[in-house]
Amino acid sequence: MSTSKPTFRRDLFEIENARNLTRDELVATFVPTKGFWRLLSAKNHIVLGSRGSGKTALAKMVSHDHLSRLQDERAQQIVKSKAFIGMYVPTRLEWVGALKNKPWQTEREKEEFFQWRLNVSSCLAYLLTVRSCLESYVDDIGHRARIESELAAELADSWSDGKFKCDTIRSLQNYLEDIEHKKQQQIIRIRSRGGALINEDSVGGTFDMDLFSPLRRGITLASRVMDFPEDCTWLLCLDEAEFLELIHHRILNSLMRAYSGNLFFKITTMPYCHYTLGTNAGASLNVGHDFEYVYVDQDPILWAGTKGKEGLRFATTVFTKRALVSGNKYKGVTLADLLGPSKLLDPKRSDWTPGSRNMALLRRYASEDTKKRAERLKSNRSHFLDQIARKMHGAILLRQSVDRLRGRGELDVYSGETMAIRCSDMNPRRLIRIFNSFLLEAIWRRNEYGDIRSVAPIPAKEQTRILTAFSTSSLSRVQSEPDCGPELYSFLQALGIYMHKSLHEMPLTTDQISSLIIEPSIPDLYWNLVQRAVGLGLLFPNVNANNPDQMPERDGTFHFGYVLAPHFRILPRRGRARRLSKILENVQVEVPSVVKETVRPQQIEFIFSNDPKTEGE
Amino acid sequence: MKLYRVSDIQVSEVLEKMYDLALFASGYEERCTHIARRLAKERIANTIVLGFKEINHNEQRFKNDLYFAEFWSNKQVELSTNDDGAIYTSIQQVARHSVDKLHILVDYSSMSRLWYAGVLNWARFALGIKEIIIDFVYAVGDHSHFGSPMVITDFLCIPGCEGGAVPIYKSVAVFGLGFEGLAALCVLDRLEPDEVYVYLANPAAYAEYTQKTESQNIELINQARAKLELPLTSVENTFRHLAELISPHRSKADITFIPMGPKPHVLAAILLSLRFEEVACLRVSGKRDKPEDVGTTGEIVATRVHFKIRQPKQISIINKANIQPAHKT
Repeated sequence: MSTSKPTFRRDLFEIENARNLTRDELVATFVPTKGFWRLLSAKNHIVLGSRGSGKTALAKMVSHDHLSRLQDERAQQIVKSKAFIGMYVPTRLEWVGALKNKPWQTEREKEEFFQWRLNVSSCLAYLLTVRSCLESYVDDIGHRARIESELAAELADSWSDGKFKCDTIRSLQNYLEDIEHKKQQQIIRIRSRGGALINEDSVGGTFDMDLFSPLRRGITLASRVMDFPEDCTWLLCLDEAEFLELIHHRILNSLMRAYSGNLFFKITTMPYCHYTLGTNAGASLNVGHDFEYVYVDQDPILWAGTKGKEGLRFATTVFTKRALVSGNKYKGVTLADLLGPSKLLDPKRSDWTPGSRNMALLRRYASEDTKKRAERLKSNRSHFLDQIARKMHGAILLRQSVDRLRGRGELDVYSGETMAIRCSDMNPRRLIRIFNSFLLEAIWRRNEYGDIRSVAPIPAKEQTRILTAFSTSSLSRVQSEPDCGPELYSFLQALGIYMHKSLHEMPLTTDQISSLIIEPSIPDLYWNLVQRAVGLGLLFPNVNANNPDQMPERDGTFHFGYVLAPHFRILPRRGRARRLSKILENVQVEVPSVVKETVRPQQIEFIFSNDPKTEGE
Repeated sequence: MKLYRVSDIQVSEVLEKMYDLALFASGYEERCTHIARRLAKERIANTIVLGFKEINHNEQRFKNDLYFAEFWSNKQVELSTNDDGAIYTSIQQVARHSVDKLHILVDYSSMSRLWYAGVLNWARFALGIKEIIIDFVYAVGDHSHFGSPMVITDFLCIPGCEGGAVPIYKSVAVFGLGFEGLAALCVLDRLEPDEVYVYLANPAAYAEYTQKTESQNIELINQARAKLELPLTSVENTFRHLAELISPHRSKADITFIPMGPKPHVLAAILLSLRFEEVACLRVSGKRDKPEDVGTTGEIVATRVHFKIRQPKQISIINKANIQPAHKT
């Protein structure tokens, strides 16, 4: 009788969040990036990335139990040499929700409670890592059991002041989970009774000490019994720090400021959500000295390739890896077969001969200056193709398609492999959601045994419908964003409508407006909205090539998320930038009914004009 | 104390019963006084009227305050919607005089969920009392003018409902759906659970409310593994069905309730979180441009929650639902 379990493979296109993948699924589908390798270093890092940009995947993959399974020579070398031992601590919304729900606590009590909980959570993360280390470094099962027993006993003694005894890591994990729960119960019990009972001890008192002291003790003990080299560096990955508050960031900063021995921090958060550089030690953090930022939205791929092709390669790798791990269903399916080429973005074979349709459209839609320039370049075909045709093809085709729409007609131009990838803004979660939306709508052909044999290409109109629905949904869910949802929605609407009008109502030039310029005089309200939009991956800063991890502060150029292009019927392509103040002077926002209801007296007032001004920057 | 039983009761039973203590809330909703007006004052030994610190210059609020001051108590306990401290101290003062058994009436029609969770937490940890019976009453809302959409301000665990709190397992989220579809999606985006379940009121106050709830939450419903339709008027049924829903996930997942629907469904979620201590219950706080003055359909939902000192053997609704012992091991 066979004892092997049947293998059940989940459809990984239905799971867009790294947090929800099993360890083996994440390892098998992970695409290492430059940012990832940077994290494997003896430095403190704050990883910045918009929602869905892959921060959690990076942080999890740094942890020892994931890294040790990654089929990569460099990773295996790191694991083998015990150079870096990573631990992963999530600070999920539920975890933070149980931290912030005690408004009666003083600032000091809040800090102490945060430290207590993070001490417990980091020790739990440490225990997972220790198990992984035991499996990796101690081959003999008997010897491993003895080491585990010895270590568990010492840790239990240290973390409970001798009150708890155990000989397995699992028992110790249970103990930590229980004291976390008991602590919460004790707090509410004391509050409801108006005080503690006589002789009632504080639950888990040993974790009331300095932040990460219990963890450091654990590291010392593990290093001793597992014989880690002296230069072994421990990396603590703290995920989703955007949910924490400023006081928590200050505490974490204080640790990064101080000498931390062989323990370094990798903290993930959203852009502009590292709330302070302040510490509790008087001196502020020094970027570059105490820590470095790693901005992962600008980190599409590790391997260099032909310029402009990196995104495509990254996306197809993500698709292929997911398809492979999802079993036979997607065997042989490629994005190119499923989606075909993009009419707007792959204009390689377009006809620009004098009597062609493209030339007619150019004459119809281009500005006078652009027409004159085209006329001048006509004699030099390669210059004409590069400076006029290449730049204007998508815009004139899109404008014509929208012009020709009548009644219930549907667009088909938001289609093709390149378009789908472009509309994801290279955000992995968005990519997978888009892939999943397409795969759900695809028509699968089956063979006589009922197995999937091939998949039919998805019609361009269907693709456009899917991408537009995705785009609209991405925008509409902004409305409930904490604190500024309606304002942010109106702001993005204003930008999108301005770009739409520039493309569809004004004479076209070779560059369409796709970005906004922020000046230092920007009012706080707008700057706050820009930061939030960057956090959500709906605006992206054009970062300085020499300093790509530094987020611009009240200054710089930000491009509109391509994910919103189908909703506003604009071109997902880098073009010109326009000053935000100019955009807001010109825009006329037709606020949809759902937002009309949310307009509040203090909300942004957009100035409307029927005649958009067109002066350039 | 152990949460011993949750049961639906008739309103007539409430009207005829003698209570040691009644808690009312005075806010900006017309329905604040609906149940109080039907009760006989002589059947209630002590009264606590809680007043919202926020939005206290509203005309309807003024009328409600006047009513409570004239007929019930002129000493209103004013507290913030995010604060439950005064609940404990107020009940403590009354309970000091009690002995074995305490009967409490809570009109939670217009209460902050923190306040009625506070009453439950107090009962859970009360000392020196053998048995506490809390009758929760709720005047079903008539939302004739739907308010402006809610803008989220924070996501917090209801005190005492923090659950396992160390997020190391797979996560299961159970959303109670209301009219705030976008807000629910916003929570979903942040929680990013492995599995999603939803429940909504059907029958609701009116048939159109169910339809509106479904249309507002269509995207979330499409992502859910299962949708439960549970009666608005039965906390007992809601409690039992939700207990059965989460039962297979206990010990294997971090379960979080996010009740965003009508209050009886919120109450059921809080009770589950108190009963199964590893289950968390989140509260999504938000603000609106204009507060919605909710009237009432006239219908009242009454629920009895029974706390008892732990006994070796218990017969309760919890056994009916075939639920395993509470602690994750």
